[in-house]
Amino acid sequence: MATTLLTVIVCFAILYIAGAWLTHIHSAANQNSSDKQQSLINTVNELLPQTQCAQCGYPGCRPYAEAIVKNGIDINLCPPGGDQTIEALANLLGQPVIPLNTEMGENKPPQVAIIVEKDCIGCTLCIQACPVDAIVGAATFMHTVIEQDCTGCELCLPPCPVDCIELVPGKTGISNWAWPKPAS
Amino acid sequence: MSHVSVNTALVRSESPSVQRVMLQVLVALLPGIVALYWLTGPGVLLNVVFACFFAVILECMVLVVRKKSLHGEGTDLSIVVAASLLALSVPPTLPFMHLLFGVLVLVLLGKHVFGGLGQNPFNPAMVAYAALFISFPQSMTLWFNPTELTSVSLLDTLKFKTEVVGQTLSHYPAWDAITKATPLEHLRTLKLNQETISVELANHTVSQAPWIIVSACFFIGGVYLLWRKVIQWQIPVTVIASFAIVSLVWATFGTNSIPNIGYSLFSGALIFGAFFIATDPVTAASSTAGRIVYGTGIGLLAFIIRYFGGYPDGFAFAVLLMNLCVPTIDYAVLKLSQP
Amino acid sequence: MSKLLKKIERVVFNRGNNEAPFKFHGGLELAPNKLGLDKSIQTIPLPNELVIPLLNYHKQLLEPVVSIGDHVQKGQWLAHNLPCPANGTVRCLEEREVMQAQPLLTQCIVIDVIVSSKTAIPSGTSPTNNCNTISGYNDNDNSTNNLWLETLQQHGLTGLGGAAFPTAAKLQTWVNANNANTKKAVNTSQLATLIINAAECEPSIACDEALMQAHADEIVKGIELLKNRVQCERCVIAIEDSKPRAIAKIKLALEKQLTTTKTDTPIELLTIPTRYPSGAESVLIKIVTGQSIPKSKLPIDFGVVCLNVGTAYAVWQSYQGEPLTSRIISLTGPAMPNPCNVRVSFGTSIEHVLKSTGNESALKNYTIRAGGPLTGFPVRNMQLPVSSKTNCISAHTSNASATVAQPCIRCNACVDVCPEYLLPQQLHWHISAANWQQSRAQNLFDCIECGCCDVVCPSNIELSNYFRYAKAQLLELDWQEEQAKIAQIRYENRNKRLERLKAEREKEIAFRKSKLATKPAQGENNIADAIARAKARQRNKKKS
Repeated sequence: MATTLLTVIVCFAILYIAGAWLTHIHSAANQNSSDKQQSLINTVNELLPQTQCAQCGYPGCRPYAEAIVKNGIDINLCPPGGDQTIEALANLLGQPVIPLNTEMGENKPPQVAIIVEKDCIGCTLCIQACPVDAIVGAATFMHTVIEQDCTGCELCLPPCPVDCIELVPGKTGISNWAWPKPAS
Repeated sequence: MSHVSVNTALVRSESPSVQRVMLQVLVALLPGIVALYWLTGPGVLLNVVFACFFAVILECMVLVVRKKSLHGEGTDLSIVVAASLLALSVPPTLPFMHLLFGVLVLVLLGKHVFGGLGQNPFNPAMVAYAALFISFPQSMTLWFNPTELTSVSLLDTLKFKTEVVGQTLSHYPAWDAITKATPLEHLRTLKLNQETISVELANHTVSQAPWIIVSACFFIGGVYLLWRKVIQWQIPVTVIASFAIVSLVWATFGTNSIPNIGYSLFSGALIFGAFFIATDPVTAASSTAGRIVYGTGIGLLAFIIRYFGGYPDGFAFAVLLMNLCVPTIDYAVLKLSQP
Repeated sequence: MSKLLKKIERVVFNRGNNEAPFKFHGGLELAPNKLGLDKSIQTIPLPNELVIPLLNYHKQLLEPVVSIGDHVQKGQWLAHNLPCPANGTVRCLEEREVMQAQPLLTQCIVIDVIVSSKTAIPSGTSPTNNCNTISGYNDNDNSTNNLWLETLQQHGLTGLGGAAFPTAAKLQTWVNANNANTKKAVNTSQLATLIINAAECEPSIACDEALMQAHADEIVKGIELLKNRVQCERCVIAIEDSKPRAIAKIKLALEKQLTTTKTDTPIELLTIPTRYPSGAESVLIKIVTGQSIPKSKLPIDFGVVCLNVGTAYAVWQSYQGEPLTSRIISLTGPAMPNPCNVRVSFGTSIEHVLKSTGNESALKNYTIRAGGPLTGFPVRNMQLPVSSKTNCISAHTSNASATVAQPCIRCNACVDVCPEYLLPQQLHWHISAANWQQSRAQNLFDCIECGCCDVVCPSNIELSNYFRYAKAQLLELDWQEEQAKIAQIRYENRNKRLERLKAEREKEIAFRKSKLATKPAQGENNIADAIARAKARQRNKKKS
């Protein structure tokens, strides 16, 4: 009886010590926090789709990444990233996967903006709104979108005084042509 | 529109199908079934027919509930194979109600909770066997004495199997005389009573010869499967080899005595399990090296459970435990084989 | 551990044999089923129109160098490194369907063929033709080599094995590597083996076999030329043992070649067992050298280059000044009325090919397929133009019966036949769960899409289609990631610029404010002076 009791006590002691040691390692790893935090922000930022659309309520992807890491904001506010981004963030941060918050917007297939050139009056407002400098033009000259750099963020739509910007599906061609999923 | 790119009809004359594979397994089981019938009477046939019949009905019901096409998954015979394997693992005396419980576990907990054929991590027949073994230990260890075969008729068996539910055998003294433990069960009793095994074996209180014939018949079926390339050699060979090697080593150097190697190999479910249970492709490891590790693991665990555990034969538990390791084995083999 | 596994692999699969042909893992023994080999190769007449897709190997659109209405000559460029197959006029540039498993429109040049004669065609801008200047190819310095490669490029030489990789690009890396080696005198085992792939392992396809029977001498000359150009240590032509006639022809031609030229490294003829897919590049390299090419490496990293036998012939043709504008196609299949092997110009429609070979009835009654039974695909539009990838057109009585895929039972049949040591059933599992990165980690991109797994699957799962699908998805994901990186950089640059501009503006305002604060008096004087100057000018005007 005494030996059994002793065995149990020893087992618990070993478990306790091992647990305490692991916790210690874990917290030690979390020291020099500002560096760690910065690199975590970078990692989170890389998982975001970089459309810079501000639909999440932050002015761009990096600010949202900062808000996630520093203030613990929800990870489901990014409509362009959709479920894939949420899953990736959840895996990284050890959080549960939650559905997209559709108040921020719906997940849409990739799109690009085009300027209807005959309607453009050359006001430069869209150029100022574009977060990735994908619109070129000058005052009173016609503007155009650099299609390959456009992220389809829709931020150029509201400032346009003549509503001459349209969104079209992102170009697909033989170069990024996808094979269909086989019927199961 | 179909995007079929491989026109399989052009290059293969006979098309392999799941149905065909399962049919070959059923054919391979036939010699074993015949041998068991010869040894233990009509109970085994009743078990197989009842288990298959009920399993097919249950499978169809589940498929309807899951809104799957009966034509696709219902006709692939995999459930018939699983039910037959269960029926051959349990004693012929097992009451129908117990077998019914086993089939329920097989179809529902063994197969469909994981998403149906191909998705289950554990061998369904062995899940059902383990559940039965834990729930009804007494009826699961009760076998007819082969020598009393003549006195067992089909009708008697049927009556017995339908009536004995939840009652102990002592209520049926007429049956007590003709039922006897299997060699392994007998061995366990000896072990529990701290008797010396070698002496008892010498006395031949339990005749082992008929069981050797059963094992040999299953062995023939297994060779047929190997010949038809339904199973690969790695798993049966490593299961039997590892079991044999450990038995030999233990018999030579071990402290407590175990029966000789021939006795070890041909008693219990070892041959049957090595060819029919462990080779279930759904739950076995997939790479060649993985299969070798998997088979060796089963052989070792079966040895340990059989001779050191509280159960007469631990094959089901060995298989279930190794099923648990399959994802890790596959992953490790993949990682190690990469330069 | 990996070394141990490799050793086991060597012992188990090569049985201690260190000589070619080495064994490879998996594969299938399929009946060769090659038809029409007793007939000679006919060149089919040119059709009225040729359709040439403006696409390169990397599926990028090419910029045409001719315009609508131009007269074009055979061999003249239609776009960069894209020679025209025949004399004619450019009718239009339009989107047409091209030969793909998935019908897809792409920009094509349509040419009205003028069959009549070589005269009376006002010549358009012709490309510089180097053929006359390099008649000898005797020197082996870099400039000759480069000139030769340039010619191959200009003649539009692509691999004729099925993937259509530009030959010059393949040889370029080799020539460079070879030069680097001789300069630095590094390990000699790094020096190249040239493998001529004449295995043609896929059932039904017989174009290479027909070519070898008809043009063995030219093929051997082409190989000799390649061998001398690239200075390889070893040169092997590998043929499956199911082609005794082709082997005999090549053997004869090799003997003839040996009597005319002295060489230290004669071309080796290697007969390999008939086993699909022995003709796949990575598999053939394994068979010939025993070297398996691990993922993320190219054959050239192991000093090996593999070229199709048809390409070797085209190299010889190019040496004679002929650009690559046609190829041999097998017309075959159980329902083909007149199976044969014919030479077809690129851009010819399937309909024309079948009509001019007496196979018109196949068009109406049977299903047509482009490519072999394992790597090909069904064709619905008979106007699709033949390209350098099209090695076979076959006819069947019916479409592959619609077999319903059943659940995978992990029977491992696919693992046993996979020549690339993949676990197809695991990959299928990950792909079904959209677990893309996991499928990449399990070497999805090593898959050569040979279709062996499809053939043996008892559950009728279209495994190789799953792999194509996952590859496309992964490429798309990579592309998106790349785009996101670009967008991120542009966003950050813009923010920096905005901050800089803001800072500059603030600095400017601060500067002006400080200026106003320090020199108010001087400022007033300036104004007064200006007024005085203006008044003086007015006075001067009035005076004059």
